[in-house]
Amino acid sequence: MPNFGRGVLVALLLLIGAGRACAQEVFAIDQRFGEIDFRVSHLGLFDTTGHFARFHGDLTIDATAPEKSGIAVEIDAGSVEMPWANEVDLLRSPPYFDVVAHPAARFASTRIAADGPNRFLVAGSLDLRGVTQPMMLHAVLTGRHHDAQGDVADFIVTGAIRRSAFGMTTDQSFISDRVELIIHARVILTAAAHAQ
Amino acid sequence: MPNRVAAVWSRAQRRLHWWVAALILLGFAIAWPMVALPLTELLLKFLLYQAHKTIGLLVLALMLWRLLLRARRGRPPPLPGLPGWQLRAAAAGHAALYGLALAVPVLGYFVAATAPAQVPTLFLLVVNVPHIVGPDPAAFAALRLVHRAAAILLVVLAAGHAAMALRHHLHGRGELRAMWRG
Repeated sequence: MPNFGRGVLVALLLLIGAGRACAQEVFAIDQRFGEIDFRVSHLGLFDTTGHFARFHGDLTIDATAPEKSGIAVEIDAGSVEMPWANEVDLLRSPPYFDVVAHPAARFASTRIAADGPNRFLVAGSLDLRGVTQPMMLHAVLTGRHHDAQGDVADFIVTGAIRRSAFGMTTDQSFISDRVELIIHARVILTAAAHAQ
Repeated sequence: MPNRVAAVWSRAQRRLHWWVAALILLGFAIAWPMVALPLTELLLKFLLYQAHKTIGLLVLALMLWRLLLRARRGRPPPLPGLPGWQLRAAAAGHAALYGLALAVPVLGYFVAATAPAQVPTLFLLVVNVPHIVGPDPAAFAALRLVHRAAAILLVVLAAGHAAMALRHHLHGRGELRAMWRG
């Protein structure tokens, strides 16, 4: 399971209010306010962006056993969305996300390290199309506020993968191998409904 | 359009006539495989679309140039000895050819701009021509039909125009030769 660097744990405990995080707590990532976007380049001439409409995830913080803390996200691969319906069909097909054989993509962190104030490096692994590869994400805490869900924290998480590493090798002449990820995540810090 | 009468078509006018004719035929020929190609042939499909868009923009620019030259230099007098109805039909046909050669590229630009798949219009594959309107599926569907119908009409009229030119040529008139060689 994932583990935090000690500094990160302190930062995250401060984030949620140290008094409450005396045992393992699980905080939901609220997909209603989140977005997982991906972007590819075409011949270096222009970019195309798509996103996943459905995903869910948890941020687990365990004050007593930091190594049990981490982030796990599951993405519904079939919820891929593009501006044009034909593009969606293409991306769901076997050469791309192959959503019938692999309906879900999963990310699980293995280590989270501080990378400056409100910045975190999240190392983990991505399981996509049945292939698991290591992946590094950069998370920035962009804001905290109190709203109808309670206390929430907004993050922008970025990273990049090479799609060929996951066996998605089709049409490399036109679609870049490098896929950038831009994730807007909102973590609900009010743990009442989510604590274990 | 002012019908200033010149002795002959100028060299620039003649060259522009043939360049536009060739580009229209090329753009028309590219259009069908470009649309029919599946998305699994993305690179080729993209290149054909960009070639088609580049040709359309060239046709538009060259047509505007032709209009300018025609306004400045005028045109030769109509063929002598033709009955009035043929002269009127020719004038209407030429006006329709000018109108369609201008309208089809403009319609094509708006088809590209309103398309749900947001692919930029890259003139000669490098110059990004901004889209002044955004994606609009309903407008796209309508514009696509009109663009295609107008393009088919343009090519049919151009074929009729060529057939008339050929007919005059076979009857010993010199217009086709004059348009080609001056």
